[in-house]
Amino acid sequence: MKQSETNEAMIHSLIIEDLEQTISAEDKVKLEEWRNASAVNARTYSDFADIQLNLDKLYHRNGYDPDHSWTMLDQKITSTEQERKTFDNKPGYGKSFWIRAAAALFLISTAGYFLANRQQYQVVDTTENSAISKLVLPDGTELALNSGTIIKYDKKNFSRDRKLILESGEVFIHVIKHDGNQFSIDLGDVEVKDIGTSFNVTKNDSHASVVVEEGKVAMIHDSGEEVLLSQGMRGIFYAGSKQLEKQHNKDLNYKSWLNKKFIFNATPLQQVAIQLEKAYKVPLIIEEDNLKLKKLTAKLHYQTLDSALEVISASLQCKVTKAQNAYVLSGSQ
Amino acid sequence: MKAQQSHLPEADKELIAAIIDRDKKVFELFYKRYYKQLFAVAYRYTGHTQTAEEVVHDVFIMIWNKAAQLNIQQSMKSYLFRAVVNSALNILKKEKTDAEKHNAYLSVQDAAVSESTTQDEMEEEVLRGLEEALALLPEKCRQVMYLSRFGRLKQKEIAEQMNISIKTVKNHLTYGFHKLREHMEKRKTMVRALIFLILNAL
Repeated sequence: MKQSETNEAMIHSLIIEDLEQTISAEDKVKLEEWRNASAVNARTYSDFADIQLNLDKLYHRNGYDPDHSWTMLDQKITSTEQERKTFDNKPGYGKSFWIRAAAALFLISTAGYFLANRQQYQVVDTTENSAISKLVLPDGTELALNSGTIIKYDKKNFSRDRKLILESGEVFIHVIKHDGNQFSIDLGDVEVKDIGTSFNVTKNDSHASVVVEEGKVAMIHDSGEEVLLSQGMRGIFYAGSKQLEKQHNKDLNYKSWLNKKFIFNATPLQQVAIQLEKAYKVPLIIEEDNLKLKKLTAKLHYQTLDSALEVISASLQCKVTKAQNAYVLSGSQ
Repeated sequence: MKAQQSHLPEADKELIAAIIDRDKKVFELFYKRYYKQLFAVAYRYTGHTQTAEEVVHDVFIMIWNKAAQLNIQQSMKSYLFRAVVNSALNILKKEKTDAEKHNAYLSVQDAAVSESTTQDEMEEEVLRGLEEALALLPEKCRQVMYLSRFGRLKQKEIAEQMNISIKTVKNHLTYGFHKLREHMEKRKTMVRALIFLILNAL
């Protein structure tokens, strides 16, 4: 009995080696002979092969495309390094503080007050970043910076003057309640004053815009004109006409660059692609014009673009292929 | 680099040196070479795509940040798999309740076996059964099966990594396959019985 069990184990081990393609020629002959000896043996072999086949199918499931997975990892690494840099740049932390302190002293002695005064500004520039950078201001206010954003604040006097300067780009702000003075954002011609809240701010050459997620925000022009924005409202300042407007926010996806949540309601695929490109930082190419006009109604909430495109492909019956550093959507599946 | 790492294969020494020099291209190739296997192993333990992805990412972030201080016993490959398995097991420990919920989910799926009709659904059913059977294997046997079938490690590599003999690896593999076959056979019988009952009821 024991002998037959040992033999069985040995044969099973040979089947596994055969499936792994590591079996020796001699053992292969032995295994073939055993397989041909009876239908039961042949079935045992076939069952093992079936299990291996299905294990292979499991192996190929669930994972991301390695290129895409690498992009995500690369973003995390860049983001961690950026955070570390920001941390190191804070006064009192790490070597760079002493280097900066020495630099500041040198500037004061050689270039006078103006340059030294500039030195007190903490500048964060995410132009080179592909990932979202998170930052906490000295008062605890949390910022999420989209790529291509430049902000600065007075690190020395921040507790007295809680002001953030948005030079350009996009930032989502969650202001921490504070007993001190009001939090404000300098957008050039207009200033945004927070009254305890979370909101999204963008600024480019043509306009500055604020969308309020929670609480209240005041948007004030240099001329004294002011709009008060509550939850769900958008304030826009047009740089050309110097016009300040208040409207209901119709862009359901204003924060999708940060949370990857999208709501599309009969939105042409071309518009969908623009929004996805912005959030995932990967170019999307739509090959046919009629596909660009196809309308998508869907809620997408995926950390990866692959998953979002899978849903779109199934909904609009189109094909998604990956070209170099871009995704291509084409008509037939 | 640590002096005690002089025993490492030349290719691993070069790799570590490149990571210390912040060579992203080399690191990217290194990542892509092992990603699929590591993910497949991590996924078997966690049962969750995002968590498995994070386990793999965390190991690589740690290697990127601390390449100079790593204490690698055999090889970088072996270190990777060990780190991923340990990290996945730690997560499982922390989320024991969730794992119990996962098992409860599997048993519910078991009862729903008769729902499958199409070819795709049948295949889905078989694969789900296989995952379930893998999860029921004894711990060491399961680890050998995961490293072999999903990590694509050779029997010798598994033996070195788990500090066991090749003979023991072979025993775990044959036992594992035997148990999977037994479990799948049981499911097949169950499906046949259910189909028979359904046909009789029509």
